[in-house]
Amino acid sequence: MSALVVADKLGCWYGQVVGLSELTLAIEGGITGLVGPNGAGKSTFLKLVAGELRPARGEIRVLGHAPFANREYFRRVGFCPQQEAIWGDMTGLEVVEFLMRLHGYAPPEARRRANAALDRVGLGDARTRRTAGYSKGMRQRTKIAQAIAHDPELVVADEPLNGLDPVGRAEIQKLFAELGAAGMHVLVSSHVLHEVEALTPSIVLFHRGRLLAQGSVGEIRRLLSRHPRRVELVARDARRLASALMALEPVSSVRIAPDGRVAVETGDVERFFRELTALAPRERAGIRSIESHDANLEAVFDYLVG
Amino acid sequence: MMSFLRTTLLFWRTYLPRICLARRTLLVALGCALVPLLAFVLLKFIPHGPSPIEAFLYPSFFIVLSVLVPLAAVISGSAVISEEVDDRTITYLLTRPISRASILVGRWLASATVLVVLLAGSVGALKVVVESQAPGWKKAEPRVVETTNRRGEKRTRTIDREIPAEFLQAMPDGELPDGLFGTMLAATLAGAAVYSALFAALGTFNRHPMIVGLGYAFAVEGFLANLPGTSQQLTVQFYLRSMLVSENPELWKLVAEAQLAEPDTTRAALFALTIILAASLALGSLVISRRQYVLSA
Repeated sequence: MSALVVADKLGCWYGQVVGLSELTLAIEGGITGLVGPNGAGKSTFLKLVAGELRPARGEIRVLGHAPFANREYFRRVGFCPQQEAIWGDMTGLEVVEFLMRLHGYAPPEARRRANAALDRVGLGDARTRRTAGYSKGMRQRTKIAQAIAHDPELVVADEPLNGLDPVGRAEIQKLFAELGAAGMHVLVSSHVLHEVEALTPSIVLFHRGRLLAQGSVGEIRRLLSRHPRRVELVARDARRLASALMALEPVSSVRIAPDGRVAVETGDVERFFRELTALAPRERAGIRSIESHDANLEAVFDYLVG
Repeated sequence: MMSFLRTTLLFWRTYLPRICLARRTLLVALGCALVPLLAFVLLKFIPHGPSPIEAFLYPSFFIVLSVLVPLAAVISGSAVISEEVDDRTITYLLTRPISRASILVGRWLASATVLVVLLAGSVGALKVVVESQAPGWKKAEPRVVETTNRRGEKRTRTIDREIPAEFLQAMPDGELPDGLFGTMLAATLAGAAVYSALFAALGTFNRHPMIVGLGYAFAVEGFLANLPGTSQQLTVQFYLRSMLVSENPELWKLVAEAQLAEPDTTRAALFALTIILAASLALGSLVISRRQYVLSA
């Protein structure tokens, strides 16, 4: 089976700013998560996949098509962009119905599809309200509805969980899972790894416009766990704790900050926490708090790219 | 082709009510209302003001055609594409299986429809005001006013206004001369269509079409259209004025003698305006079909 998305030395710039650089990858069908910190190139890649942008260099083919301004391709894809913008003077139903009319559906069919999609994203009750009065989460749902209403083969969703409350996130994650189970391909981006992890085991990591890693969540997690992480502890007896921590194998350095915090750098954070759990009652240093400061993806990616 | 027409019609139908309720339309409507109001005030409350025919000709030439039409067209035409870009909603349209040109043409048609109705209403109301005030209008008798200067010296001054005989005799039965209103209306509507297409096309490749459009309409055209010689032919104004003077040339020449180069015939003017309109839409369609619009998140 040929890949869903094939990019070959793909490049895209915004003036002097690099959006994507020399990106070569192949993404198979099913649900795939694109993960990376803000500015990593996820949105640029998805805009290229959706046909909103044209590659400055290289080539991209999706479902066998060059996406930019390709009308035949647009029949087969649904795009939920990152920007919140949607026509505020129209109701949710009017927005989705109008966009379905642009797909060539007759008015009754366009309305039927719009209603069904809005029901599916949980916006049934608010469909006749103007979108200007919608919350961020409701606008997000409207964007998702317009992307799925024409039953595309591929749904491209850029940060679709932004602005949703925990219940909403769970609902939309469930919706994407259903779309995937129904045979639809889904490309979904997020800067939060665990959001994507809940959707799919297949992820692609982006950083500074380049492909960093691609594979299953398990593989990526193993890669991330080898990154030295900084953990800060507040304890009643900082000196005693620091000296005990020095003896632990996963700890590479210990420093006591002027405010009394104990800053630990470890190469294996999971093992460190296991050994800390055993050490704490033994040393009676009175640990009051533990913070892992650079557990965010930005720090991890910075480490991975050196 | 059928698909293009169907999508264009869909854009027209969808955007027409939205444009009617837009804030910029209210602004244009206010501008349109000011013209007949001004004529009414001049005829009703200014004793030594213009004659009825002047109250039609001067606002028509110097306000409607020279200012209101290009200004209203800049306001509504420049928004055709740039509004979608600024609002970042153009993504939804550009990723649909439609001809991108239909976005431009359909939205421009909706804008032009609203513009044409408002401007036609303005010129029509101007006619109604002038014709309603004409029967009771009489040239005011000269009035002698006595004034005293700082040193206490008394002086007399006569307030009167010379009105050419052509103007005084132009509306003997209180109605505008034949063809005058029709050509003015036609020139106004042609101007609205051509200017709005020009500025809509500008919006496909320029991020600030309103500013550039204002600069073009009032600096470039304002300069060229009033420069003696053939350079006037480079402006839309020249062809609109040519349409006007094709009927009642003796009246228009009294109003705007200095502004008029040797005018084209109405047919030639209409042909030139049609070319400008078609070229604008073709250029805009070409740009929107090929251009990528980079939007910030």
